[in-house]
Amino acid sequence: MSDAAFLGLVRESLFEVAPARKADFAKIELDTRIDALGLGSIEVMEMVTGVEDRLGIILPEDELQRVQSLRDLSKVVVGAGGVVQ
Amino acid sequence: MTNYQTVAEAIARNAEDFPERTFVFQDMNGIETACSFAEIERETAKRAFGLQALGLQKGDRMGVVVVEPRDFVLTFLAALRIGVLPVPLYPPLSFGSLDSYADRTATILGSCKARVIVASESLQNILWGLVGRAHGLEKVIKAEDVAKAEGSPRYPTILPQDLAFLQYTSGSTADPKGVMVTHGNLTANCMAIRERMDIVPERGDKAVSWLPLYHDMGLIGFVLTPVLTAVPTVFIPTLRFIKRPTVWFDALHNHKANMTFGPNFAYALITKRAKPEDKKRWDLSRMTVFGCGAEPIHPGTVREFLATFAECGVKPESFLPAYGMAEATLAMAFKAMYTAPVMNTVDSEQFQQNGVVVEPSEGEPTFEHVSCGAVFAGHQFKIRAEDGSTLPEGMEGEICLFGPSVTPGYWDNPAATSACITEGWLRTGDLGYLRDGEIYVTGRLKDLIILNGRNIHPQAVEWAATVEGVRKGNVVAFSRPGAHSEELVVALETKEQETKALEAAVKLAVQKELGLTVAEVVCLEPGQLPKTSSGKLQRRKTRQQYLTGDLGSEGSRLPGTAANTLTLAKHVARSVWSRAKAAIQL
Repeated sequence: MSDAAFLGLVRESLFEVAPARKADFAKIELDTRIDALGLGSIEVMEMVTGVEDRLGIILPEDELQRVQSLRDLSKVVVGAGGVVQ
Repeated sequence: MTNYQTVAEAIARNAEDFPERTFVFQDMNGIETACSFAEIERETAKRAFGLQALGLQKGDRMGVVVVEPRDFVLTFLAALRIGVLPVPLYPPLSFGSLDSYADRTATILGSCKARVIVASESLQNILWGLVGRAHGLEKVIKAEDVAKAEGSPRYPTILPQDLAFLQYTSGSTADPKGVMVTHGNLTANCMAIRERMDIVPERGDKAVSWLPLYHDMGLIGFVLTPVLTAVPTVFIPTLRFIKRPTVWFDALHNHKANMTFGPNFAYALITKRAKPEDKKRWDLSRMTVFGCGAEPIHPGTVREFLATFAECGVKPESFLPAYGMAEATLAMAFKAMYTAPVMNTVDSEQFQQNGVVVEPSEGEPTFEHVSCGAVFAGHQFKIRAEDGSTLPEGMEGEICLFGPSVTPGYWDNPAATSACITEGWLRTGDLGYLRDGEIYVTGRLKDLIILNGRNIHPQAVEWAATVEGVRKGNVVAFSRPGAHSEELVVALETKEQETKALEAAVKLAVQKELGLTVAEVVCLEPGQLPKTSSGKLQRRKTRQQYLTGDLGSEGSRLPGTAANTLTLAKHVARSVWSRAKAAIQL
């Protein structure tokens, strides 16, 4: 999966979680930290769910404990067999 | 109808009397595995033997940190059958801070001198790091290894006055409080719940729960009550619900269930997340109990929930406000069945000023309180004034409870016990009043704000301050010493970058609704307000941090600071060392 495709997925999920902040989310990069997204714990999980749903995969929870940036998240996604069509 | 003296007896007798009834466990993908009462008896017997093979005996404490619902339930019940006292602990959260998790868990395990932790495979590394830190802790065992044991356990005699398990509450790290729960407490509380909820499994009653099993509402309400009343129950992993809240109502619909529970926030979440096609699909007309407890119940949330799901057949009578706390085993009062929730509107000035419940005059500001019903049969409420006297109906004071659900006290903590239990009366620390024999819970005693001699309930300020742009449920009101008297401060979380306008809007809203002047609005980023492990706001800690200038500087509850990676490495390193040492000792 290309980095651009992954970021596109994350962006789409983020737009669903907080539509009002579309402009902020347009600027995300692989090095954007999850805590810099300004989301609450339930919203972070909602974003993760959005990514999972789009790829038809489930990310292992114990690996999410180590995720800090979107780059980390992309590694977990690839590890879980996520392929963007 | 079942009539058991202990949970141990219930597990054995259910297998004979209702072998075909089942607990159904979902995994993270929603794949379901049924476990009949007959199988529960067999599986818990095996695990009980496995625990005894580890050298655990009646009265010994054992940490339980198991994420998978099936393994948790079977391990927990196995311990109860042989008198071993399980101490349920929460697992590390996704994106959480491992350092504070390890500190708190080590303190609890050390306080109850647990020798062993039974844990999920995925948590072995982190938990082995606690061996050597928690006093008396020897080893961490995989839940699946306990299940592999083959043999028959020896069953000690278990009496109603014997302890069943310890429930650690959100006490501070410095002073952990483990509520002692006896088998007698459990049967008393669960039978009272059965009576109030009119549970009749023969009529097809069925429960669904996604609640965490390390918390009293999930554990006692949806594991032990079903065992003691022989009710089939469906378990959804908590994280599955958090990721996809609609799986909750999918399960209610698919299993034709009629009973469930959740905190106020869960009803707000499902109301927000359910899509029109979900609502078209769900038939929830069988539901007799949508229980709501564990945090203050917001009348607006109740109304929105009922309005949203009316098209699925949800009846107002099914919404069941509940009041309880771990020190009362689980619950003290529920709304009566088959009646709509009762809200009481009071004059806010009279209520705040004098703690008196009076009907509001036209145009005056009001508060709305939700009734949690009458106290359970065999129990009594008393509303206590500051001077210790008992207040009449319609007067606000501290809620006290007497009856068989009251804990004998906190584990190895006589000071904390005598501070809250006197001659069998439990001081709950909650504020409330009685009206027509029903209890209205209005706040926490220690959180009460006193401004110019006026009692102010922080919840009222927080609800008023939740204007557009404020993260719902992430607002804390408290007081600070001002030049002449106490002043009101509101700390809140927001995603807005530019907060000037928001601050003004909050001040205006509080002024308009409550007639109070907010001296300062502190805007924080999401995740910066201190909360307990179960997600409750920590008002006192927020105030302390504010006063010491640390509010917002402690980092975030949310994902990943760089320090967390280091922390993880540290915990894993410690874990390897502890394992090696344990291997040598074995």
